Parts: sequence; C-alpha cells; structure tokens
Amino acid sequence: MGFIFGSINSSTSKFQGMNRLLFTLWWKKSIRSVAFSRSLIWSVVVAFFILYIFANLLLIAFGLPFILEENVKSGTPISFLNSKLIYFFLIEFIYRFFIQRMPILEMEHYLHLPIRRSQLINYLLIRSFISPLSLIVLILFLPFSIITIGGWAGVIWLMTIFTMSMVLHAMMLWFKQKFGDAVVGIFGIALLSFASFGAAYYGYYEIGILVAPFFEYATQSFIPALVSLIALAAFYYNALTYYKKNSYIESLSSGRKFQFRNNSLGILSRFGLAGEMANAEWKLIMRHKKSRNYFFISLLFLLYGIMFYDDPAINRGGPVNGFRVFAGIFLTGSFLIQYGQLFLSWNSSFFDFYMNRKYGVKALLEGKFILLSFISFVILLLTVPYIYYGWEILLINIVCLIFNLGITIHIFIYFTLWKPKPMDLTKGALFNYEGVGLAQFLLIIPLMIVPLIVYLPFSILMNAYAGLGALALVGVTGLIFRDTLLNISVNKIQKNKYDIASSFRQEL
Amino acid sequence: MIEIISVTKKYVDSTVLDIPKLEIPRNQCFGLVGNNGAGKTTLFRIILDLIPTTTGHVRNEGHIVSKTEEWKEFTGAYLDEHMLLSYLTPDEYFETLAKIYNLSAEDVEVRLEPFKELFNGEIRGTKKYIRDLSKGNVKKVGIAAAFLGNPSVILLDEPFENLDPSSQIKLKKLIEQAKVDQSCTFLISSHDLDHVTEISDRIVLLEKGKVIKDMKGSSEMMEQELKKYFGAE
Repeated sequence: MGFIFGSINSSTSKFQGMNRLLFTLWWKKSIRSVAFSRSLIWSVVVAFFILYIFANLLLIAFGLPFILEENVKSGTPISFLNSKLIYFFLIEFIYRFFIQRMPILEMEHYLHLPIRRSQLINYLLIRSFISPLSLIVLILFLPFSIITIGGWAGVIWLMTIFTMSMVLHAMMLWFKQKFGDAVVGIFGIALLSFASFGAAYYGYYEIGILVAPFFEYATQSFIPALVSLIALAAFYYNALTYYKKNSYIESLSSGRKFQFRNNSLGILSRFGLAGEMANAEWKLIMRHKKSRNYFFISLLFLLYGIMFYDDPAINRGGPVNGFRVFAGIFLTGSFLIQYGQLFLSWNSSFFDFYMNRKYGVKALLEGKFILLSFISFVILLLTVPYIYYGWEILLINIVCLIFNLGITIHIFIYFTLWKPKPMDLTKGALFNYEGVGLAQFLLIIPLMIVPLIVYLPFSILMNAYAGLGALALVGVTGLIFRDTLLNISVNKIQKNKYDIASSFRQEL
Repeated sequence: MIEIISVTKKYVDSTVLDIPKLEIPRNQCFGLVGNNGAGKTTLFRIILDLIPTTTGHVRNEGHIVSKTEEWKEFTGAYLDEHMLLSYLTPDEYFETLAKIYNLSAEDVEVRLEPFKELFNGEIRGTKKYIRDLSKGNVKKVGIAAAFLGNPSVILLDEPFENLDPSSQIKLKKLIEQAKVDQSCTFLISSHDLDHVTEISDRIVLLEKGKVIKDMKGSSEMMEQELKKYFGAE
C-alpha cells in the first residue's frame, strides 16, 4: 500500500514509478494465471519439466568443453564451435518462433488510461527480454567461454554470443507479430531450416564456415560485440516502430488476417448430422489459431519418417519390423495424436450447443470420428513417397491406419474424457498448456503399447507378416464394432455431462 | 467539448461509420442509440483512439485524440472487460488506477463513496479476482473505474446491460449526481430507451454508421420518437 500511494512529484520519478507499477502488475498476473491456480499438481509437473530441461542444459554446458577437446581432430575446439554456432542460432530462431510470447496483447488493458503509449510499448518490449529463453545461451556457453577460451577473450566472446541471442529476440518481436498468424511463417521457417541443415549434411556448402570468422574475431576484439550491439539497437528500433504503428486494438487481435473463404469439405455432408458436425469441426480447426497450428505441425511430423526409415539400425530387423510398425502408428496417427489428445476441449466453448441438440453429443463424437478418419486417410496418402525405403512401408502404414481408426481412436476418446479441461482456441499454439492435463501425458502409454501387444507375439512366434495380419484383424474388428465402441464414450459423457459442461463454463 | 470532424471508418468492403460533423458540448449528457451494427461502439472506440479512423479526426477539449494523449487525464471510459485487469481484485484494481491517476488513498475512498450503494457490499473488500465476479459486478467495477480519475468526460457503453433493476436505478442517480456536482460530460450508448431518454439531454440515433436523428427536448418526446423508429408503437 505504502509505495503505491507514495506521493510522486517530478516527472522522472513518475516515469520510473509507472514502470515499477507495471512490473508489479506483471508479476501478479504471472503468479495468478489461471493455469497456475487451478491445479497444484499441474504446476508442480510443469515446474519439474522446466527444471529437467535446465538440468540437461547444465549438463551439456559443462560437458561441452571436454567433449570438444576429445573429439575435435582438425583445428581447435574454439574454431570448431565457431563454425557450428550459426546452426545453434538457426535452431534458436525456430524455437523462439514457437515459444517466445508476444508481449503486446496486454496493451488493450491500458490504452484508455493516461499512460503514454510509447512508454507502454517500450516497457512491454523491454520486459519481454526477461525470459528463461534469454538464459539458455548464457548457461550453454558460459563454461566453454571460461574453461576453453578463458580470460577477457572468453568474456567478450560470450558477450557477443549473448547479444546475438538478444538480436534474435528483438527480431522475433517483429517477425512473429507480423507473420506469426500466417502459415507462411511456419512453412518459411521449416523451409529455411531444412535448406540450411540439408545443405550442410550433403556438403553442398557450409554456411557455418562463412560466418565462423565473425565469432572467431570475437575472441580477439570487441568489434564483433559492438557490431551485434548495434544490430540489437537496430532491430529493437524496428520492433518499436512496428508496434507503435500497430498499437490499435484492431491490429492487436489475432487470427484476423487469416481466413479461408470457401472451406467446406463437401464430401462430409454425405454423412448426415454427424457429417455436418465433421464439417463444422473442420471449420473450427481452420478458423482458430491454436487448432490450425496443431494441424500444420502434425503435417510437419510426417518428416519424422525420414529419421525412422533412414536409420540402418532400425532396418536390420527386415522390411517389416516392430520399429516400422511403431513408425506407421505414429505417422498415420500424427493428426489423431496431435488433435485427439485434447479431444473434447476443442469444443469447450460450445459444449452447451451440443448438449442442447437431440443426440448432439453422439453426433459430435461421430463427426469427430469421420473427420479424423478422413484426415488420417489423406495423411496416409502423404506417406506414400516413403515407399522409396521399400514398398512394405505402404502396407505397414495401411494396416496401421486401420488399427488407428479401429482401436487407437477409441482409446484416445475414452482417456481424454477423464476430466477434460476448457481452453481458449484463440490463444497461441505450442507451449500453451491450456487444456492439457495428466491424461494427455498418460495417453502416450497405451498408444505405444497396445499395437505392440498385438503385433509382437505373432511376429515373434510366427513371422512379421503374421503380426501385421493380427494388427489388421484387430483393427477391422474395431471398425465393425465402431458404434458399440463409440457408445461407450458417448455414455461416459452422458453420465458426466453436468460436470463436463460446468467445467467448460469455467464455473468453479 | 468533443468534436467529431468528418470521421469515417471503412473496412475492406464496408463503411461502418460516416459522421461529417458532430459536437458534444461540455456538461451535456449525450445518449447514443441504434440497432446492432449501427456503429455505436465503433464511434466510442474512435473517440478513445482505440481504433484509427479512415478519414477525419476527433477533438477532445481541443486535443486531437490520435495525436496527443493529454486528454486521457480527464477522460474516463468503460466499454468492455478488456479495459480491466481481470487478475486483480477490485480493490487492487482501484489502487492501481489511483497510482496511474496520481490519487491518494483518501482520494480513492472519497471517489468511491457514492458507489457504496451500487456495490451492494459485493465489490470492496472481496478476495475474488475480477475474472471470477459475475457479469453485473464486473460491470460495476468498470463503471466505478471510469469515474475514479476525476474525469470531466465519461464514456459508457451499454452501462445498464447485465445490471439488476435496482442497480440500474442507482446508476442513473450516480450519473445525474456527477453531472450536477462535477459538470461531467457523459456519452452513453444504450438499448434501454427508458433509461437513456430519462438521463440524456440529447439523443443521437445511428443507422448503418450515419446520424439519422439528433434530438433535444423532453425525455417523453424523445422516447416517443425513438419508439416510433424502433417500431414499438
């Protein structure tokens, strides 16, 4: 109370006082966030997860000087690391794109108050630098700069690297605000990274070598540090002007720029009421930022196939083996896994709508089933190019699709109905844990184990194709009894409908 | 005085607001009515510089609202819950505003004293965050916040919506009191013809972004004319 009402006279102290006030408010907002206060267990899990990541970072950081010392044969560890740094920054750019939060939405709460707009924007932008993301570079390279480089050279080198990371932050402030909603953003980044990593892998050209002298020079001179500081100032100024120009509420609201016009999937209408639900669900996916990103990310997941199929160790088990079956389940189910894990939560804002319709909940589930089948089938078609690694892959993937639609999907539906949580579709996608609960973590277990329980006994006792046959048989059985299996989940919803609806309405 | 000078607002395929000239003199209670989509909220947002105009500008006591920010010192507003900080308790929110407006704790008490009746014991002293309050109580917090900075201009969008009848009557009294005591200018949009005609000195009717009626006179007369327009009689 005291400091809030302290008398403030001069304009400078008012300026500082305002910043302090805004900072206090930010702190309160963080500790009072809905996700935090709703469930203690959940925040413990998240905290543990973050600690785990930082422990890993520390391990890598302290291991780095010694690993490089032992393994780098040509040149010094320093020049080796310098030639690879650009890849680190590429990766940093990518994860920043997904994780870094845009500070600017908060503005709408203050725009009508007598706080200067430029002060508000400056404050929000500068505050955004305070983030665990800013620590990653420091943690990762601090031991290296002390142990391997050492002395002032190490300090200046680390300073340069750290400033580069801040440059990325400032760049992202602008980039994500401008392109974050557009598919162009995600795909542009994916393309950029595949191009550069691919080029380095196949040895066309190595961009790392091109920029290595800059970091090399940073161990001898403070000029690179100075250059990055100037770059930081430039990018910060760029973000600042961009935000000032776009600080009206209509430009702050997200998801507005991106609209599909005629995006009904006509084919779905053939399935009656459930088909209509599937159609509505498709529009839901395409018209909300969070679901849209889930959709495109699940398409990116398909590239995991390269990792699975390209690895000779995995292929030692013959053209049909357990790993490939797992890959098949994973690839053909990529959308099912991404989207299905938050099954009902997608509809949390509209759940009363379905409750109000005759057979509405059943139609909703059937609709989701139809849509998931449809998209999974399209995804199967997208995996066809993998027959480059052997035609058996197509066979495995077809069987896995049948199994996913016959069995996995029901497991998913049933498990996610355990305390579904509401979520806000208009908020960002990745690392937005709204709607995610313990059930989503446990889901991965049946997903991996159940198909193997079916496949392994037959493949071990007889042969791999018998295992596939068993998977197909179980899957087809699941498809035949689809209605019965679906009804189990419908009944479960009916039984808990008041609890689910009230938790979706966010009544405490 | 608020002057709206050749203001238009266009989106890609439609014009949502087109007002060549509109002046709201000091100490007037200005009522804004119109069907959904008539542009009431858009006009308020433009006056508050929350959205940019396509052409024209708004002056608030001589300040062009999109150029300066001085007018924010004497302009209070509550349009919707985005203007609140929903993670604070009402008391914390008032304290925060006090800091922003440079008010002392005593000032806050004095300013909120008239709201005691409207608050009905459910706002001050509660440990609930604003996001957990009922819609009506959130509205009360927002309206009180609009009055808090000792403003000479107050904009309220649908202030009677979500309030129970007795709160509506109390709010009307508060507005009339502030008009007399502090010579406040009020801009109020509402669908409630009874209330808005009762407190307003002047009523402007918007249709598809255009002013189609500008009425002054007795509240009975204005109400009758409005009811004719809205097809109630």
